Amino acid sequence: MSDKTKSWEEINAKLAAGEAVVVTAEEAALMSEECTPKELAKKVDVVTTGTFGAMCSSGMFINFGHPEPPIRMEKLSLDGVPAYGGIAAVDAYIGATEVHPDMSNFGGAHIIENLVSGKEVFLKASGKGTDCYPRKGFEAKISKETINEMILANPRNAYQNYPAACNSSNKTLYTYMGTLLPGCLNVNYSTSGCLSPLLNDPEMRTIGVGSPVFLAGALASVAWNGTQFNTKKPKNKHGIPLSNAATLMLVGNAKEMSREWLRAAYFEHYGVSLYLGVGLAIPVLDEDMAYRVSIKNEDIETTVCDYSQEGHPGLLTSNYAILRSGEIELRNRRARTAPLSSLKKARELAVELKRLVLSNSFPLSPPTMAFSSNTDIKALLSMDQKGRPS
Amino acid sequence: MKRNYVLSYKAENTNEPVIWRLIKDFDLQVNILRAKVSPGQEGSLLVEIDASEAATMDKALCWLEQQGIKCMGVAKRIFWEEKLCVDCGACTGVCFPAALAMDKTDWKLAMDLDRCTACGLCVKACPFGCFRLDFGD
Repeated sequence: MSDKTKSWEEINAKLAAGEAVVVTAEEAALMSEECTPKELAKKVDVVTTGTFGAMCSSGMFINFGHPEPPIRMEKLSLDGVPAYGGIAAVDAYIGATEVHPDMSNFGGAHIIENLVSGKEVFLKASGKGTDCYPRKGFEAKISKETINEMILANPRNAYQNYPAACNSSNKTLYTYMGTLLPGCLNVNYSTSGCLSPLLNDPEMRTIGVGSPVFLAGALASVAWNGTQFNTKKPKNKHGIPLSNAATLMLVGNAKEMSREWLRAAYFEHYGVSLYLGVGLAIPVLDEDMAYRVSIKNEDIETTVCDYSQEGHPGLLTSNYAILRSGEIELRNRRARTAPLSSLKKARELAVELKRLVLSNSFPLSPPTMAFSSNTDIKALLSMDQKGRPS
Repeated sequence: MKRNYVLSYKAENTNEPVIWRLIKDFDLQVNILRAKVSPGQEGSLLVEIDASEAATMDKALCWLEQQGIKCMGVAKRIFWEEKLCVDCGACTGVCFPAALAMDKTDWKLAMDLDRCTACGLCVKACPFGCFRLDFGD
């Protein structure tokens, strides 16, 4: 091994021999107070990360199996929550934020949580009836024991940073960033800071298509970049984007997942969402990676945005050491700060992932394809009566 | 000594000047934090009572009971279903008496019922429906 770099193979060999040093990202940040990145690269082989927060852009593919006589399910619901049936005969997708037509606080995330927990869910399906799928209606209780696949497939998870939220108006706002009291009385933030997966490898040198990921208790995979993937957000001097930037599309076997890391949530006047535990194990390949994984909360900055104004303009830049302190100075007043993602569970996840890596139950492998390093996002433009963007 | 209580009125005693009597007869400081009292209907009043001595507080509470007004510490009116809680902390930003706060060492949610003023903001702020407030509704 050279003085400066370690290969994936070398780290895997050390793991197989039981000689690797694995620490959590919080432990790495602490170690960096007493050693340089160069020293850290020598001491530590793998750093584990974790987050447990609301990830609305999630959902689950289900294959129910064919009844006899068979049906081409076109419209279907699970415990009354509509699922998308426009995929073959008995495949469906239930989105986490889909809402029950009569119960605004119950939706797709609850169906996913219940199925993952082994509970029975009532399936009601209908189709027009065809020569090959003559059946027109089907009703039955299903559970994870009775159906073929439950594949969690989430278009956008694990946001690399996220703006904090406040509200300068004179009425309370109920948002996906929680309850925002008037007059900027509180600021809510939602990132596990120095434990957050994509903040520990901001250039995504070790994360890409095919990377193994801890998803809700199961060994899952990074399928692609997540939607709204953005590499062009302004960064601070530590290379950390100052607001929401990169994202991951994650896929995994929901039958192996656990309610401990997957929970349905309801945000008042907003709707249903899904809290997920996500973690990545990052190899400390060299001095640069050692510097990245030892990032501290005070060096991770984010923008505090005003959700009462159009476009949610940023009011100030803060960092996670301040946000976690419980209060922040905003417009010459003290505002309360509160997290939306659970740091306690993020820590537990990083520790669990450390255990899995050390016991060779969680593989370390390089991505099969790197993400684009030159992507930003487009706004959706409306059109005037002549069909021109307006 | 300061204590928060929910006073539950029956329909027949909503016309009594109960708070005036507490202040005048028992020399208490009474701060009304929340009220839902209408003439001729059952109602609830959330009050912070400050007494110089425990004995005075006891006498006042005894008198309230004699008037048919049930008096219950706020701690018995707010319910936290801890087994649903994931310790996210979403409730802490809206809890101004700081009855709900994150323990900065293990980042577990800690609840100090004595501080609760039964404002109910936590009920809506919690994404997991952990809180229930019984304010005589």
